[in-house]
Amino acid sequence: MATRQDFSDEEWAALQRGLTGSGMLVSISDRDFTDSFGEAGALGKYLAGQQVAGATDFIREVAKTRGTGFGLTSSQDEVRNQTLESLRSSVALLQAKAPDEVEPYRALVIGVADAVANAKGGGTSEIEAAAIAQIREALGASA
Amino acid sequence: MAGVYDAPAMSRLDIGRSFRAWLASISNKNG
Repeated sequence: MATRQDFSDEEWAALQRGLTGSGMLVSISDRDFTDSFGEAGALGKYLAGQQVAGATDFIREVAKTRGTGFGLTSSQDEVRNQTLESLRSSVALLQAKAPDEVEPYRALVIGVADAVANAKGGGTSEIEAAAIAQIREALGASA
Repeated sequence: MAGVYDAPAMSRLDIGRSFRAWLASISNKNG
């Protein structure tokens, strides 16, 4: 069973950056900042829930993020590129080190993206859906 | 047992605050 100790600090940071970045990516995708409190709250609430109710011990550990994993000066493009890159490298890493955790990690990431997309009410917009499709592609997940 | 519940609450606060601060910073840049 994979644990935090099986990963370097850099690897662990990428696992968590892919997770938090996915929520941020969906939030900024439609450039609507009017409900940033709702979306930030949805991201935090979802991760807090996964820390307790995550599918595996590993998932519960990954969900214990502190902060976003990005600097305050990161541009939207930096967040987008680093998030997608982190997702790609994390899936490759898990396939090598902890293949049983690949699907739970994909589900966790897609779950946070869905939670943020639904935070405003009215369902998922087309632009948000496009962002989620990018996230799924980086995860190597089927649409 | 309190610690079991305190940790998620603290993390939720941290990430919410961190995320909102970043949103505000990029919003200001765009504005």
